[in-house]
Amino acid sequence: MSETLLEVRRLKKYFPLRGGLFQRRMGSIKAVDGIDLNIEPGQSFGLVGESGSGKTTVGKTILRLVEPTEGEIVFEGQDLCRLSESEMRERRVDMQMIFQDPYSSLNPRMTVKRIVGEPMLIHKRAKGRALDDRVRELISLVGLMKDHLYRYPHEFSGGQRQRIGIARALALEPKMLILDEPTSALDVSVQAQVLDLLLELQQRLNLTYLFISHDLAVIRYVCDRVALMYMGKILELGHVEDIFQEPMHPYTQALLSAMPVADPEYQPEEIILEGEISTLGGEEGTCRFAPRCPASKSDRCTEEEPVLKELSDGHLVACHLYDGG
Amino acid sequence: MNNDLLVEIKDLHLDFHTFDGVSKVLNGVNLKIWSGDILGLVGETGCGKTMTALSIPRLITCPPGEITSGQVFFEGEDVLQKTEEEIRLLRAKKLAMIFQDPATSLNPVFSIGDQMIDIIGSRRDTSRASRLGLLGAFGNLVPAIRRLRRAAKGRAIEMLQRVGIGDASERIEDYPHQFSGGMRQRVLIAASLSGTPSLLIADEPTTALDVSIQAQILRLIEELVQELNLSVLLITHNLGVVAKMCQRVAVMYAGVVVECGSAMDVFKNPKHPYTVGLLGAIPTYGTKRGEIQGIPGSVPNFLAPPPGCRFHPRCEHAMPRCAEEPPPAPVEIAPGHEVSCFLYS
Repeated sequence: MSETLLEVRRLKKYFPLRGGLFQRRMGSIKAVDGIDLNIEPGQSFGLVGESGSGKTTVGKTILRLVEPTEGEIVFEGQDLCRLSESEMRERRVDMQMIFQDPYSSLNPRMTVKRIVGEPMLIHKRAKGRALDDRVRELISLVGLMKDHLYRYPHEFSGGQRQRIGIARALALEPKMLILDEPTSALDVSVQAQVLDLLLELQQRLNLTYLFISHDLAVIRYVCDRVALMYMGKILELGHVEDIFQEPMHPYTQALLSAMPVADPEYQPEEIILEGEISTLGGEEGTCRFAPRCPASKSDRCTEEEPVLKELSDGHLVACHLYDGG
Repeated sequence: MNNDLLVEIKDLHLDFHTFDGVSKVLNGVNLKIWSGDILGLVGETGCGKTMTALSIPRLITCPPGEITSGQVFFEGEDVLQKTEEEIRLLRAKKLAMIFQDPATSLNPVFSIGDQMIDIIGSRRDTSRASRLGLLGAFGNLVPAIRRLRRAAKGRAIEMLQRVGIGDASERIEDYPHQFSGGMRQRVLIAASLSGTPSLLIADEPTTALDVSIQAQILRLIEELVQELNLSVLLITHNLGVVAKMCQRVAVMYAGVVVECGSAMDVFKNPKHPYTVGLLGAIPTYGTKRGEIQGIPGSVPNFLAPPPGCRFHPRCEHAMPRCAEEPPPAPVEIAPGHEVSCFLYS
C-alpha cells in the first residue's frame, strides 16, 4: 500500500436530542457511528448513501466544521482533533470544501473577484497586483472569462456558479477537496461539464477528492474507491469496479438494482427494499440494516453487530452472511 | 380522428408577462397521449415540461400567463373552451396529479384525513361538496353530512391501505409532518387517485426521494396504472426513470418538443442533436472516464430567445437556416418517431 493522505479512525459524531422540560438531553442521534477510512493522495474516494446516512456529517467533521464526538482524523500524519482552533484554521488551507447548492454558498453581495480572492486575503497569501493575477488565473482554470470578474453570483447559471465555488476552493492550492454533492443541483448536460472539469483539475493539480454523493452513476464515473454508508456505519468499502461488478452486501445489491439506468434494453431484476432509513440511529449491537434486509435470516443479525471484514483484496463488507455465520 | 387519443396538444404557445418583458415559455408544443400510454416528458430545468403538463387541467394562472395560440384536447374536447365549473369537474373526476415535493403539496395544519375527505368530497358536484364543509365541526350533527363524511373517510382509508400505508385507519388522523418523504408521496398518490381518473400527471414524483424509496414509489405507480387502467404523463429530468417506466418519450428543449417516439427508438436511435447530446451527457452503467460529454453553453434566456431553432447556438450541426427560420414541423422518420429538425426535413 502506498502512503495515505487522510486517515479517519473510529470517527463518531453524536448529536444531542433534546426535549421535555428545560430541553433536557433525551438521547443522541448517531449521525456517524465509528467509521474508518483512508484516502491515498491523488485518489478520488466516494462516499455514497441515502439522505440521513451521515455522509455529509463525515465531510464536515473531517474539516472540523462540526466537532467530532470521538475518533481521530489524521491528515499527513497529524491528528486534526488535537489542534487548537487557530492551528486548525491554518490546516484548512490544505483541505477545502465545495458545497451542493451553488445558490446559497456564494455571497450575493460580492463580485466574483472578491469571492475568489477572499481566501487569499484571509490567509495573507497575496494582495494587490499579485492577487488580481492569481484570481484571473483561477477563473480561467475553471473555464470562466475575464469579464465575469466584476459580476455578481445571481448573474450566473447553476453550472457557472459551481465553477466559481471550485475556483474559490482552489485559491489556496489545497491538497484535498471535499465535494459534498457538487453536481446534485445541476442539470445533466451541465453536470457532465462540471464532472469533466473536476477530473481535469485533479489530473493537473494532483488533487485528492472526497466525493460525497447519492448518485451511484456519478460516483462510479469519478471515483477510484467507494464506501457505502447506512445510518452512520460503513457497510461496504472497496474499489469502484469491485463494488459495482460484484456487490456483496445486500444493501449495495438492492441499491444498485434500484438505480434507474437510461437504457430501455438493460433493465436488471430489481430488489425493492421495504421500509425506510431511520434517522434516529439504530439499536446498539445489531446490524443497522437488519430491519430492511431482504437476506436477513439468522438471529445473529439482531444480536450481534457485524464488523467490516476484508473479503478480497481491498474489498471490505460488514455483513454476517460473509463472516462464517 | 383516432378515438383512443386521450390528450392532444396542438401548437401551444404560452407567454408569461414579467417585469422584464414577455417570456415565451412554450413555443409551439405538440404532444399526443394515447390511452394506456405511459409517456415520459424529459428535458432540463426551465424547458417548459411542467407548463405543458399544467395546460391540460388548465392550471396556468392567467395573468401573468397567457396562452396566445394553440389547442388542448382532452378526450376530444377543447379544454381551453370550457367554463370554470366544467373544468373543475374535469380536474376532479378525470385527472389526477402528483407533484415533486410532497411536503409542500399537503397542508401542514390539517390532518391528512381531513384533506383527503375534502378532496374526495370535491369530486362530487358543487352542492354536495360544499355540504361536506358546511358548518365545520358542527356539520357532524346533521345526519346527511355525517353520512357523506363517513363514506369519504372509508374511501380515504381504503386508498391509503392500497398505497401501502399500514394501519391506515389510525394514521389518517396524523399530520403531514409525521410522515416521511416517501410516505407523503404515497398519501398524495392515494388522494389524487381516489376519484376515477383516466390520466395521471406525475410531475417529478420521485426527484426528492432516495433511490430505494424512488424504486418503491415507481413500483407502486406501475401497479396502480395496471389496476386502474390509467394513462400517465410522467415528467422527469431523470432519463433512467424514463427508460424504466415509459413506452413513449417526448424530449423538450426551451419550450418545444424536439423529438418524440418509443422509448426504444429515442434511447437507441436518437435523432435530434439535443437528444444525442443529452444521452451522451449522463454516466450510465459502465461508462468510462472521459466518455461523457456535456452540451456546451447553457439554456437560453426566454425573454430574448435565439431566433430560429432555439437550440442552434449549442448545436454542432447548426446550419445557416437554423438561425433564420423557425424549426420545421415534426417529421416522422420511423413509425411513431417524430423529430423537429432541419437535418431531417
